[in-house]
Formats: sequence, C-alpha cells, structure tokens
Amino acid sequence: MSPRALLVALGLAAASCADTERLAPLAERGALLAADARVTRSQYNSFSCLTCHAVSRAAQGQRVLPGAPLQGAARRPSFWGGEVTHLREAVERCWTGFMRGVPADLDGPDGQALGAWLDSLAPEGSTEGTAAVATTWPRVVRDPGEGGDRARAQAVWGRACASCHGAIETGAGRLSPLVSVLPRDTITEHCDDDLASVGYTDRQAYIRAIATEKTRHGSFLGYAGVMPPFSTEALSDDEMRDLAALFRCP
Amino acid sequence: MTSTRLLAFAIAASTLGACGEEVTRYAPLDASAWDARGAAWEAPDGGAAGYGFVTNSLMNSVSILDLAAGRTLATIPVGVVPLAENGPHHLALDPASNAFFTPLSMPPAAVPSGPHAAHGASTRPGVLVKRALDDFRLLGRVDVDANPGDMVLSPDRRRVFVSHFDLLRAQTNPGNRDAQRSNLVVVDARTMERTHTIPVCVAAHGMVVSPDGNTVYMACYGDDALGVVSFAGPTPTVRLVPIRNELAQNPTAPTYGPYAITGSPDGSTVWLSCSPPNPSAGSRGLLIAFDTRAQAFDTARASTSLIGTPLFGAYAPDGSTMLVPLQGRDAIARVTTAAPLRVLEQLPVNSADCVLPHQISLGPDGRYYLVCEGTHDRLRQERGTVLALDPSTLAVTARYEVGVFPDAIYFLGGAR
Repeated sequence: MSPRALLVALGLAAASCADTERLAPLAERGALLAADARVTRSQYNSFSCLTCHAVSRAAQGQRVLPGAPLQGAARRPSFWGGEVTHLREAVERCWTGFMRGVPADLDGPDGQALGAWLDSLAPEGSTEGTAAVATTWPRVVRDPGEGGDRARAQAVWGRACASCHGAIETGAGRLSPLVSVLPRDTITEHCDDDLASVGYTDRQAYIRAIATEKTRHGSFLGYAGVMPPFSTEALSDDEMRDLAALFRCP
Repeated sequence: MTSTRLLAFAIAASTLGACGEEVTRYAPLDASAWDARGAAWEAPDGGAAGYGFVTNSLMNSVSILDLAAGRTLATIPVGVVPLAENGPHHLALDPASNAFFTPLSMPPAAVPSGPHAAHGASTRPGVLVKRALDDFRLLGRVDVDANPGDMVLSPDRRRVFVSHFDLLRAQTNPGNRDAQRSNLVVVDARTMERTHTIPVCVAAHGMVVSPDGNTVYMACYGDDALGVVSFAGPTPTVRLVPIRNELAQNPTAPTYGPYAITGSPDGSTVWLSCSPPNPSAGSRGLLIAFDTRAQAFDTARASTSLIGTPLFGAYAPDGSTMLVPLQGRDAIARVTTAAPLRVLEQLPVNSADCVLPHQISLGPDGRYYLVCEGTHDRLRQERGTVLALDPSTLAVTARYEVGVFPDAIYFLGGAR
C-alpha cells in the first residue's frame, strides 16, 4: 500500500468520524444500574435493586417481593416499616445488608445515579406510591402449624422464592451458587438439632418454625446471610404455612 | 483490486465502522441526589418553653415534646439495626452543630425471636449514632462496647463519653477484676471515631462531666465506687473511690450498687444514687454526695432513709435543694444539698400518671420534668409518660405520653 493511499484512507475516515454525543438525565443511568448486581462492586453480590423491588405495583404483578415498589418511594415519609425516615438511610440498609456494598459508594457516581432514578419515579405533583408502605415483621416466630398445602406451596414458591432459590430441591436457575438449595439445605442443617435446647419436642414443628423464622427475619434477629425478610403483608401467614409444609425432616 | 487498495479500504471501513457512534453523557446533578429527602421534622413555634427530647429505650425512637403546647409533637425512629430492638438510651443535644447523639444498647430480646435465634444469646456491640437535629438524618455511627449505659457530651462538644453497664462482662469473668471492668469509650464528636477506650470499673452507668471538661465521674455499680477519670494530662488516668473503704467484694452482687448520678451545676458535688441488687440487705436507697474539691465522699450528705431507690435527680435553680425520683415506692424526694442532708419531703406519684420514675430534669420553662418508664411493655401497648411538675408544689401541670420505656429527657431552646 502506498503512503498516499494510506493517507487518503485515514483522512477519509477521520473526516467523517465524529461521534455524536447525547446528554441524558442521570436517572437514565440509574435505571440501568438498578437492574445490575455489579453496582455495589462486591464480587459476592448477586442482588440488584430489582431483585427485591418492582418498579411499580403494576410491574410487580403476581410476584411476591420482600421490598416495596419503588415508584413514589423518594417521597415516602418512612421506610422499613417505619424504622427509617430517610430514603438514603433506607437504601443504605439494602446496599450494605443485602448487596454487600460500602456506604460511601452511595455518594459516588453510581449511588447518585440510583438516587436520581428513584427521584424520577416520584415526580412532583404525583402521589402514586408516595404513602408509607405497611410492613410488619413479627419479632417472635413460631411453628405456623400443620395444615400447609404442599401443592399450593408450589405456586407460592414460584411467585416468592424461585427467583432467588431456583427450583425446589434442585436449585436449578437460582440466583447464585451461594444461595441455599431448599428445602434440602435447611433439612441437612437443622433436622439433627438438639430439640430440647430450643424448646421443641416435635421435629416437624421445629423445621417448619426454622423455615418460617428465616423467611420472616431474613438475615436479621439472630440469623446471618443476606436474605431479605418477608413481611406478613408481602407473604401472608397462610402462604407461609403452605411454604413451611415443604420442609419435612426424614 | 490490489492488496494495497484492499488494505486502504479495510482501514477506512473499519475506522468508519467504529466511529460516528452515539455517546451518552449523563448530566450531573446540582446537589447530592440524597439531599432534601425524607420527612424533615419541622419544629413549630415552641415559644419560650422549648422542646423536650425523650429517648424511648424499647421503641427505637425519640419523642419530641412541645413544652409550650403541652403535647407530644412527634416520635421519630433512631435505630440503625433492622427489625431489632435498638434500645436508644439517653442522648445529648448539640444545637450549635445541628446534631444529637444517642447510644443504642441493643438489648437482648425478652423472648427468643425464633428457634434459630435461641441457639446463642449473642451480645451485640452497642452503637453510638449521630443524627441531625433538624431532620434526624444519620450523620455518623460508630460501634462501642456491648451494653452502653450513659452518655454525655463534653462542655466544648468535641468529645462524646459512653459508659457501659455491662453486667454480662462481670458475670462471665468471675475472679478476674480486670476482665470484669467496663470501658469508658471516648468518641470524637465531629468524626465519630473512637479516640480512647479506657477500662474503668465494673458495670459503670451514670456519668457527669466536670464543667471544665477534664474529669468524668462515673457511677461504678459493680465496684461500689465512684470512678474518676481525668483527662487533664497527656494520658487519661483512672481512680476508683469506694463508697465505704473498699471496693465491692463480689462485683456481681455489690452492697450499694451505685447506678445513677447527678451533678451540681457548679461542679462542686456529684451525687451517687444506689440501686442495690439486694435491697433487703439494709443498703436500700443510698444517696450520697461526693465533694469534687476534697475528692472524697461527704458522709454528712448521705441518706438511707428514702422510701425507694433513688435515680437521676435535678438541682433546684437556687442550688439549695435537689429532687430525686424514687422507685420501689414510686415517689419524688426533695432533699437539701448542703450538709447535713435533710429529706424535706417524699411525695408518692400517682400510678395512673407515672410508673417507675427514672429521671427528673429542670426544664427551660422553670418546671421540672419527670420521666416515667411505664411497664416496659414489649408489645408496645403501654407507653411511658413524662410529667411536667410545678416547681413549688410538684403538682402535675402537663402529662405527655411518649414511647415504651423512656429513660431520659433533654431540652432544646426555651428561655433558660
């Protein structure tokens, strides 16, 4: 190739090569980040905002999610069942407790983008989703009792559990390899527990109580891990009883 | 087409193919996306009376009293650990920096929250939180030791002192006095970093700071002593002054059990209020003065004739008398502050208004405010109360319902 030809080629390219720049609202980037588990920069995190929250009540459909819909959240008076009155503090609980992020990152570019996105979901003048969301986590959890329906539980599982835990018993499709395969892992871990030390005599009642406790309290009140708690408003006691029926010691 | 021409076209095509793309640039915000969010507490005009801030130790919250209107204005959550009882226990206000501080004691659940949680009664560290006074947003937090007890702010508002009423530490280290001692934790009020961790005494609780900020006095429950921590030199020093000749033989069952403390406004006297674990042993209700100039207890200013267990008291404006709430037989005692101590009156409180009076404080409006714990109802049905009292007659002039197990009141604004 002659130098002349090369120059012509490069000149041709350079002359017509200007990128076009689009100035977009920061909220647009926030919307992308809300669906991206990499946002917290933790290699162990599998959660995005949209793992636990729907954008709106309509978008949630029949799914059972531990978090409230995000539309209007930026203008709510309180969060976390009234435990928090500031949006940033509420978000920080998720960011650090479930998503393994560090608080300072919420003040960085990605955190700002998420905040801007949440703000865009609560435009001035709209009251959609701006009321506090009733959320009750019973502090004390006991065996929900016999009577749960294992067939109904399959449907509840699909709406509430499958998106993280995958298929019942195999875990196929679960969110990450770190997520428990249920009910197998719970049974393996707890069916040989010393019942007397925890005040139970019936092993099946005990394993149902364990499953209920983990579901209602998530990673709090004596449990570890990163599972979010399911309130009685999100998952009814009847649904919980059905789910607990899946947990049986051999 | 020759190979050179092919190459030229290839360069041009590949370059063109990679350019002319739309690049998205995001518009920066004018302010932090998190600003101006949340339910700001907008203080209405409280007039000259000001506001009272009450920690609700079994409700994760602080109640704000409008002293002029005579009503509870708001109850605002202050916890940081989800779902759990956070136990805000006393607080300190710093209006100059628009902040307040409160230690969260993370009390163990009365009933195990479930069979898994019952496996181990873990002891969580306490947390000192700093929040904004105007809207309660979280400004900072730092872990302290387990079971934080009292907290006070230094007069220059640069240091936060946190004591630890850690009976568990005493019980789990029998025979090892050093290991039984709880720490005085000092936190930089601006950065919220721990600057000192000072072992002082067994299960320290009430604290008073000297007016010059150089000395912290601590009620040392398990030692039957007053802890005197000096910050006058380059390194803090600790001295324990026994109430009677020697430290308690058994720190888990002290004879006197000094728990609460009251300081005179001029700094000359610190009063220890004792809550012995075994009040039938004849040591019930010791109230005794410590002369800070003589650095010794003043036995001429002591009483064991109170009808109940004394707690956190308050001086009268002229300094001649002091009011002390009593538990056991719920009452208010009025005593002289000069030697010899005289008990002027002991007025029972009406149980319909007040159960378990815990702290009394002189408000900016000249009235006394009595904080009553209530029944410690974990179901959160029965609330505690705060009573405004006429300073002369101690008649109830206002009654505020607050949260569950309130334990202290602090004032903002007002004339005084």
